[in-house]
Amino acid sequence: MSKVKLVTSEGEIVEVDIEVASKSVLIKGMIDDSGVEEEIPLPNVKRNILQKIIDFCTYIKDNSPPEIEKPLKSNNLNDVTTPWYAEFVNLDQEVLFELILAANYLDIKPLLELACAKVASLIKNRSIPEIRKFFNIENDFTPEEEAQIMEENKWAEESF
Amino acid sequence: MESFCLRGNDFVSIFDSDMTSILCSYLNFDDIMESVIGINKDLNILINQKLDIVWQNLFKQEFMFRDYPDHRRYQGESHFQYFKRSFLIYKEVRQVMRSIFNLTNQQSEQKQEGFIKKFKNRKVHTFIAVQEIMSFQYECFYKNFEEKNNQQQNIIQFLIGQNQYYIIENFKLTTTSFYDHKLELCLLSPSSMKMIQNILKQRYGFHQLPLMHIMNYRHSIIVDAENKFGMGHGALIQQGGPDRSVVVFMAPDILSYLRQHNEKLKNQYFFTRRGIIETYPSYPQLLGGSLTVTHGIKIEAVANYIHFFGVFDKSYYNDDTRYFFSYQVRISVDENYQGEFFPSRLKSRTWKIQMGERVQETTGLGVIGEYPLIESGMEPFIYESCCPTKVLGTIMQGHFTFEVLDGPQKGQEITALIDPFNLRLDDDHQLIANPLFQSWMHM
Repeated sequence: MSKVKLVTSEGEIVEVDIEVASKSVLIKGMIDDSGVEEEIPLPNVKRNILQKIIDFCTYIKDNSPPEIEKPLKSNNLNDVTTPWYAEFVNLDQEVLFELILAANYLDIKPLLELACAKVASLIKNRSIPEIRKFFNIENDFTPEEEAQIMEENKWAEESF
Repeated sequence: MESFCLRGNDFVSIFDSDMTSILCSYLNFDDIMESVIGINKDLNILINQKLDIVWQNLFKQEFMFRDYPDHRRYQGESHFQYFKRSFLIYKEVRQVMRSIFNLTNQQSEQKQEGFIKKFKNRKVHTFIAVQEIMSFQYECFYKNFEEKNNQQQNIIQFLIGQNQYYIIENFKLTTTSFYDHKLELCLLSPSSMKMIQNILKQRYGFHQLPLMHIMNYRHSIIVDAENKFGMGHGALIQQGGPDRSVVVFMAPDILSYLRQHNEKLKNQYFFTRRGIIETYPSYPQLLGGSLTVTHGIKIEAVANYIHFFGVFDKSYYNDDTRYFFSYQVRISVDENYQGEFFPSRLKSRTWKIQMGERVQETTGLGVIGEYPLIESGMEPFIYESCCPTKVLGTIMQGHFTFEVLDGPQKGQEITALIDPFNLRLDDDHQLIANPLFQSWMHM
């Protein structure tokens, strides 16, 4: 099986089966245009992230992609997809986010969906202060603005 | 794609419109309102204003269809506005239902509990979810109405097969009594709805959406989502009894009916002194009835249209048209009577019934075979009888004669009048010819 050369942000060259690499729509496009002779630079994908991507693409070559029902039934990915996929995105937040960035850049939809589902599962059933803390998101509302948001959202709540 | 390379590795940078859109597709309405929309300004603006597709997805999650015969997205209306407008209708239905359930329980001896679904559990029962067409308000109703028999699904399947719908718990709204008849109008649980739907299909060949039923009588109130009766999409139509050639248009939609019923309960419209909610009004005048006081004897009389016993098809029933009414009479000592009221016994009745031009007079002993004793401090003597008539708007009036049993007038006869009362339909109800009727339906 023919291979293609991918270059990580650290400058390392990694050889990957074409069939696996072609799971990335971006890479597939480049191969279709310029063939496999030239190295493909991925300046914003680190080695460890690329390895995760290779693992994913290898897996979906032989297995059905994660089909996660929308919306999530629970905040535990094990309830909505196979153990392999649930475990695959069981990562540090930083690594998870880098994976999302890379999956988006490389245009690997099943991986992007899976990673977003993971983020959704981390949001589901959590309070807003918890979510801000977990994802390090700044609260840029003033107390008055926050109160106004709550007023605006009252239509979604049960009325008595 | 380029800009993604330069993006920061933090939540705010990563979750732009596209990514937020994907993220939201994994979350439900409660998640988004409770956990996402208030996180920060960017997300708030994205969800409230920019990402209309989020609301299109949420609509699919929340409601069964994209649009309904009685409810759809207006031209130029965003998905957000459509969702909000729709959700507010669902909430209004919920509010009115809760009020009706509470007031009904307050005004009845028998309590009926557990009929409202939890707010966060808005999913309709499977029997509703399989319907191919329905009105939006019908779905909203069943998003709120709890199936109380969930733990006995295998039994329910059996009962459905046997058409035994009356065993399943439904919510009783009102009762009309006369003679041995007890007509209980109920809101149907999903299981009962399914059974009655099956029965209607088997008997008449129609696929209809039952909402209410008079238990143990062949009388249903259906929601006409497809406007087959010509009174509008989602109109409430009463069909019942052996003669199906005429039906009653009850209300333009479910909310109108519920609101009206709720108002009646709030205003203590129904007679509830016997521990049940009767369709006869507390104040007879509200339904064309009368209240008359003569010699301290107060007589309230009010009639009530009962469609079930009507006869309309002359060509089939070699009989004239017959509109059927029951009426309730309440006899008591007037609380404002000055002086002492001496016990008196009812001896005879005389009725004068004016049907259009014709006047019919009848006299008889007692009432329903009884000679009630009327005295101060007792509960009113209440009875019901019926009056079939060829004329809507028939007027009944009459008098009862009493024998005074004590006091200076002992042995004398006094006459208590019953002022005219009307035999007419409820306000807003209309009788209409059944456009779906075929003569084989007289069964």
